[in-house]
Amino acid sequence: MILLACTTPTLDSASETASPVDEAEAPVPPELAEVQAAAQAAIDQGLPDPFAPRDAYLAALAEGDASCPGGDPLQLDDSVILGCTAGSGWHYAGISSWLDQEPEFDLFLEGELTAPTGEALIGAGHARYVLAGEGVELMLEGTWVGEGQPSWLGQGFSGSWYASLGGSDEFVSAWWTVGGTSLGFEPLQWNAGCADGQVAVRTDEGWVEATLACGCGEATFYDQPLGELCLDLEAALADLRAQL
Amino acid sequence: MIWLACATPAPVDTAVAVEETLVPLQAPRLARRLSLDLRGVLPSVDELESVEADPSALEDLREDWLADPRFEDRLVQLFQQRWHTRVDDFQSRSYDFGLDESQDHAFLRAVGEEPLRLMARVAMDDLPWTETVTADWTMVNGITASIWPVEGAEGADWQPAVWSDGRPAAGVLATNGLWWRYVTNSSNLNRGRAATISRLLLCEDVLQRPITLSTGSAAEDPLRDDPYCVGCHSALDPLAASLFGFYWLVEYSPSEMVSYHPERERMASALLEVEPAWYGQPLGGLQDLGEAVAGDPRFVACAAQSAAEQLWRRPVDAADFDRVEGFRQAFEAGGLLYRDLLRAITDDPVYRAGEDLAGREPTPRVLSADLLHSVLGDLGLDWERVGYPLLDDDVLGVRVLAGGVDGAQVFAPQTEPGLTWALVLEQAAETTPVVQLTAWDEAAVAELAWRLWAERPSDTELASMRGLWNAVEGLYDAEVASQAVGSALLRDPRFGTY
Repeated sequence: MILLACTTPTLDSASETASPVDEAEAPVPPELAEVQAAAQAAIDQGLPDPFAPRDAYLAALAEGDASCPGGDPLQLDDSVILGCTAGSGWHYAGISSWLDQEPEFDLFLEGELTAPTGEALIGAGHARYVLAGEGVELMLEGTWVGEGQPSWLGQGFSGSWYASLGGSDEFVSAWWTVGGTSLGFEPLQWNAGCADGQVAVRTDEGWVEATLACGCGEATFYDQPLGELCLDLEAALADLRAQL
Repeated sequence: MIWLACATPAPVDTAVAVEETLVPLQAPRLARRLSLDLRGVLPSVDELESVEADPSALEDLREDWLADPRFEDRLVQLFQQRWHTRVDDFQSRSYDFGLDESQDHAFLRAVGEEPLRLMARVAMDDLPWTETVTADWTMVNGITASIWPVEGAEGADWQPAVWSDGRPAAGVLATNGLWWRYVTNSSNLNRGRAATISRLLLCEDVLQRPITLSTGSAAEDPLRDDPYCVGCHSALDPLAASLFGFYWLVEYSPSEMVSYHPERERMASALLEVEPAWYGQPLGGLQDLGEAVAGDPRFVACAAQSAAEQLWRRPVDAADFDRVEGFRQAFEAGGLLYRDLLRAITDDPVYRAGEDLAGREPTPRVLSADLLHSVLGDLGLDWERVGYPLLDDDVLGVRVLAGGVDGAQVFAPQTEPGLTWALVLEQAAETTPVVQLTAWDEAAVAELAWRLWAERPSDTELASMRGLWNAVEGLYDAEVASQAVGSALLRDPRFGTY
């Protein structure tokens, strides 16, 4: 410490001088109704899952041929990192790995698969589905955009999503953005048909947090109470379960 | 006691001692230094003559040069010497975005210059320096405007634009260019980026702190239990926690790199096990970080220190304490306008010294790669290979060999002439068309020397030039003789230094 002070002075006598910067204004609390509506709309687009990216990926690769992307028909090897165009008109650029152990799968994609229409599946990340005891685990991570696809994949997904369903301890631990709305389940558990746990919804001014008990809980913004936030996850969860 | 003694050096004695050993530059040479430092090109003959006739004319010229459009470009050069974002490689390249290979250099510069251009625009538009960390806009050109999530940009030139991906207003701290240069990974978790903020904006380089790595430590969690680790991590980790919107879950991924990821702001507490804070002051996230930096007194002091180092071409040390403190005060007095800071530094005898009898000041300065690039370009040098300007690039070029900063392995411009610098200057001098005579013209050569050196050539020197002309013209022709004389003038130390 002594040496540091002697050899690298940082001219911090300035600390005695008043800063010209005004005190930062306290963030304005958002309207809870708007926060709730945005969060519910994001949830109603469907909870993210690894199946939609998988289906879009396999459908895209089915349009390839022996010369492009060539090699393993279900994976992009490093020969197409810079891109190739198949006879079908599909363009493949990037690298991927695909492990299929029906019903389990593990997909990693870093690339773009573009249809002749110009619509692309853009993937940078990992999609995974595995059996785990009596239940299953679903994971989706990174950035995924399925242009022209319905629901959340068409809006574009960014984040980290992990769900354990079907077993004795059902929960989702996730932070994700879809269609401009960012949410966090930190985690959210399902107990006897109720969603319990910590949720967070991002606004332009910061994060609104709530601890839900059976779907509802007191929301706070920078520790300021905003009122009760309620989210209905039943339909979205039922849709997700239907895909298992 | 020892720390206090070191941190508060005896200011008066030091200041007097420094000034007593300094010999001021002659007015035309000082004009040359100012023109190079403020706009990256040589003064014109008219400008030199006005200063030669009346040295006080320099003050008006300096104001003109501070308003010159090239001032913004020159600031980009100067900021690069410290920020190191103009590198020749990023995790994503032009081909990832479907750009033609010939655009790769332009792509790299479009990305790397983003934070530098933002700071330069703040200076150019006389905005308070705090805007550099609080701006709700960034700078893009045609390339980045076409591939990044921004709105409000048109055309190919550098211009302000606003992000459309939900990233908070945080000036350079919200730029892709900064975080593409300073990347992180799943074990570093933005800590390196936090250290970068500390180094660049507070002039506190935590990586320079002495530490002892103990073996067999009983600490189960050294980052929280080992005093050496806690000393840095207690400040860095909460700062790192405010940067998770730029945390890429997949490296080398253009899709991940172009956008801010708001949802990942929440990952910090899970991964780092701390909440965002600025030296103990809680932050909501990146949206509060810029304000926290701007409100920290070290931020302004560091800006003054950094500017002095760039114009002095040497590190600031304890003996400079009062002098730099004076610059800081001048900077603040005018509302943190960067031009005021540069005025204060360039008014100072240390800046204006042509010689230091004590040998402390690096006078004269060497024309390193960035200045060679802009000066010789202004004089007509077109040194480029397949889209790569040779003095501004190290893929095909010679930027480092010419004393420049590549930002990846070389972090400070060369301060003394070196062998490769001399070789580059020689090659460039032979190619730069500074004079094209059909016959020996002593007046023209004298004026050219005056322009290039800001010093009148002596009769002896002109006679030598004439001898060179005659010898080369005798062997070849006037065109080659012009080239030889121009090359000799450019290789003179008075051109290569300032």
